[in-house]
Amino acid sequence: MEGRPLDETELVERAKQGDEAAYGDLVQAYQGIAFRTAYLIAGSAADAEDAAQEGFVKAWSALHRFRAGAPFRPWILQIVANEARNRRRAAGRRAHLTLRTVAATPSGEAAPSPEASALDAEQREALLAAVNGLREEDRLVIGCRYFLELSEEETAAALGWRRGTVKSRLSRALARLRERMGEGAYA
Amino acid sequence: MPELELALRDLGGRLDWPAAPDLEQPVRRRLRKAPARRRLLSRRALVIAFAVLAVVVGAVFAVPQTRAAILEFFHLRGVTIEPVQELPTVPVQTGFGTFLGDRVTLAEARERASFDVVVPSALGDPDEVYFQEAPPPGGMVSFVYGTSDDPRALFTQFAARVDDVILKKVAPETKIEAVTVDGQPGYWLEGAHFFSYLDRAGDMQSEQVRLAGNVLLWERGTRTLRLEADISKEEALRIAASLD
Repeated sequence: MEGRPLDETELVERAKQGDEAAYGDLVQAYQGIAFRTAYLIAGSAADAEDAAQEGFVKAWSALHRFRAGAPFRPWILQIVANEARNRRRAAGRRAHLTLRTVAATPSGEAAPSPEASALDAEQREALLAAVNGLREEDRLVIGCRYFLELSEEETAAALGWRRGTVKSRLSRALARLRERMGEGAYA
Repeated sequence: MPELELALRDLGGRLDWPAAPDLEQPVRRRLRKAPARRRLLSRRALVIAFAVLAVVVGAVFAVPQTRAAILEFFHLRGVTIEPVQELPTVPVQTGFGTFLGDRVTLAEARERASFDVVVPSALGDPDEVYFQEAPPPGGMVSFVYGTSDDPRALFTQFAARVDDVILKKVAPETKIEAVTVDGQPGYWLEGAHFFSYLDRAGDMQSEQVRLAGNVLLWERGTRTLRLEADISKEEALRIAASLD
């Protein structure tokens, strides 16, 4: 049926033909992750918004270089992350991640879900403080992989590293995080 | 996955990210000033090998870490099902104990949901009840019959909005049939299909789910209901008609 969203490959093809509405759909689809990735890197919401907007505009102009059939997400994340890095260098800031205030847990006989019981509030705060205190490279790779849930490929694209580098830096970052959390906290 | 990594993922779901701005309009305004460079070669005609059906389907499942998912998009009027020649390769999810929200009692679910919770009397009282806070606005209530590890049926209800559109891919062998439940529209799905859902960042993701069975989706007033079980269409319609 006309006017319905199409599959990503087709949206990209249409956008390459100059279809702004199709490109708008792609922006809709990826603006959330693009903004958060930019925020993690640039350190402020205003810079992140600016970087994401600029990234999407630049990607539009570079669409002719985009390989047909390739996934769009790592590509756009790479462009947006670049913009975010430029802005961070200018501002010299880093994102301080905080936790949402969680609504009171329901009372009664309800069993907490396995996920909810993974950590209590205090442990979460401690873990986040430890992540926030890591060196930038460690914080970024952990943020990309676990907080933004980017794949290795996407993390590599966003941070401008090779995939092998993502793997090795992630494992070192986790080791340093374990150290910060104290021996035995996480086996 | 080691404990620390699980803890980090859990943490990721609880971060207070600044609200993502809507970029579509500002970007599109700027595109008009920066037209795309087009290829000079003529494009091969795009073969649209599929019909895009403006129908509905819910995506009640997602991987655990993204369970907060796209629930606000799962509704009948807002979903598009797209039959494709081949389903993309994505991880298969089994079981669904952890991403339906908090385990609650039926009374609690009734109290916390913004809508009147209905129970299909043909199935009786559920063995497990879950409540997911927004999204969707107003929450989502799920009943598991059997256990979450070995479910016989899953019944989900949530308040539906009409302004969202979701793309849902189904395999060619998947049967999609429009049905009517109590005078309201619905769809019956048999066979492999995909769920699309919103991840934490508000972006669309796809996940293949190992279904307990077939799916009936239908509207009831402002709600969308979803029943999944290894049953026939007739049986599903009978259960759907038994709401109290």
